[in-house]
Parts: sequence; C-alpha cells; structure tokens
Amino acid sequence: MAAYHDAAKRIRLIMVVILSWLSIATVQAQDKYEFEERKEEQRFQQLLMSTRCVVCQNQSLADSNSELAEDMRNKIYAMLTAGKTDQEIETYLVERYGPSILYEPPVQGSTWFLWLAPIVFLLIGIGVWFVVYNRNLRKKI
Amino acid sequence: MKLKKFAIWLPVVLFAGLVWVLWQGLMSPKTHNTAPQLDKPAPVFHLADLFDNNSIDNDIFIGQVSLVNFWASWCAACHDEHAMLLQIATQYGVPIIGVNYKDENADAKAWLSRFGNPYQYVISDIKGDMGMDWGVIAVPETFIVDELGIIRYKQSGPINSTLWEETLWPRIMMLQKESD
Repeated sequence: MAAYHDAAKRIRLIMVVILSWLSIATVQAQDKYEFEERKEEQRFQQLLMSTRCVVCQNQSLADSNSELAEDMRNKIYAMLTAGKTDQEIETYLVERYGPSILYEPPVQGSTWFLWLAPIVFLLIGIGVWFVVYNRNLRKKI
Repeated sequence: MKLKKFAIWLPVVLFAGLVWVLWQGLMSPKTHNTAPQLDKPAPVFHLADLFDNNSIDNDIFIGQVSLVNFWASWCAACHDEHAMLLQIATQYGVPIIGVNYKDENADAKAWLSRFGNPYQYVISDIKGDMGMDWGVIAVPETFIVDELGIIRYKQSGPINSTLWEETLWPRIMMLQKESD
C-alpha cells in the first residue's frame, strides 16, 4: 500500500513539472520582445491580453498564433517602445479594426448600454425579488 | 389587480424587446458596411510599384472611382476571383488598383504573367503595413474608393458575378455619376 501511495505522489510530481514547463513555454513565446523597464513589459502583456485576435476571434493577441496577430504584436511593441501611451495604441487599433477589437469596448455613446445593461438587469432582478419577498411576508401575516 | 397583470406581462414584453434587438443585429448589414475606414479618406501610404519600383502614393485615387483589391499569389480565394477582376477591368472599364499583400515580388509577377494582369497599378505591400492601415484581415478584400480618395465600401472575400452585379457595380455607377 505504501508503494502505491509513493507511485501516485511521483506521478503527480511529474505532471506538475510538465505542466509548469508548458505554461513557461507560452511566456517564452513573448521573450523575443525585450524591454528596458519591467513596467513597459507589463503594459505590453496587458495590451495583448485585452486585444482580440481578429483572425482567431476566441483568442487574445497574447495567445493567437496567426500571422496577423504576430504583425499586430510587432506593431504594438514598436509603438510602445517608441513612447506611445496605452490610449494611443488602443485608438490606433480601433481606428483600423473597429471597437470590437478591444475586449473592453470604449465607454462612449454607442456602448453605454453595453456597460450599463448588467447593472440595470441586476437592479431589476433585485427589485422583483424585493416585491415578491414583501408580498410573501404579507401573506404569512 | 392591475399591478399583477403588469407584473405578469412585463417579462414577456422585455423578452420580446430583447428578441427584437437581437434580430436587428442579426439582420443588419455585415461588417463590411461598418468598417471604421468607411467614408474616411484612404490612409496615406508611400510604397513602390511592383513592376517598375517607382513610388506610388494616394494621388492615384484622385479623379477616378476605383477598386482597391488586396491580393497575394499564395491566396487561393484570390485565384477564384481573378477571372471576375479581369472582366471588371476589360468589360466594365473600372480601374482596379492591386495591393500585393505580404508576398514576394517575384512570386507576384510570375502569378500575374501566368493568369493575367487586371490592375492599373500594383502596389507592393510586402510587410503588410498598408493592409493594417486599411483594416485588412484576410485576402482578398476589395474596397471602392471614390474620385476624392474617400473609401466608400469594403467587400471581404472573393468577388463573384452576383456580388458584382447586385452590390458593387451599382455603387460604382452611382459614385461615377456623383463625379459628373
């Protein structure tokens, strides 16, 4: 029984090691981009994760292997290291591919409903619950 | 009593409203009518002509209603629409400006000599920078540019005769009339 337990532990250890290697592999794919400051690198990662890949639309620019995603990563890197702000980079992308390229669409006239809708529905839900709850209380009395 | 009736019907009404909104979204024109480049001047570019290596820029758009066709020798769908492009250029006399996207000059030239050249000019966009400025996601993509150099329509995917006769040619004719 003890031997069985050890084998299970060993297998678990091996799996943890392999899975860690795999996750590092994803990070290394972006090691080709060098940054002078840690903060720049963080901004870069953040921008990639918040931008949709227009070709493989379920993936962000951080994950997609498509050639266009590669081109866009290069462009974002070039703009970032040239001193552009996050806002300028996002505007650049939206001007070319439309607001849907960002996972968080800009808060503007056409999208305010998108932002407010979850809150509105939540409030409606709470309101309905409240009314029903009170009605049930009265019934009991 | 009235409140109860209201409360019962409210979810139905909201649901109907939601269905209506989603239906609108489904039935509305496809992305090529909502591309951010529409009704804006063509992005500025300075690239080389594929054949003679001379500089080309936005001046080629001024004074004519043209099609701007992004294509590549490695693109199978571009091959599918090629016969249609030749017909558009010769029979309909519409100037087509080709943008050779992320390709090799030698491959592009060989492809055109083999299959025919429908283009008034061919711009070499080897790095794909021009494609990125025009919001090109895949090839082929074709734009209608008016005589002032403003982008008026975007067509994704290969052009077939139905698309040409029903969508693109009528728009081009209308734009040509505007300039008269």
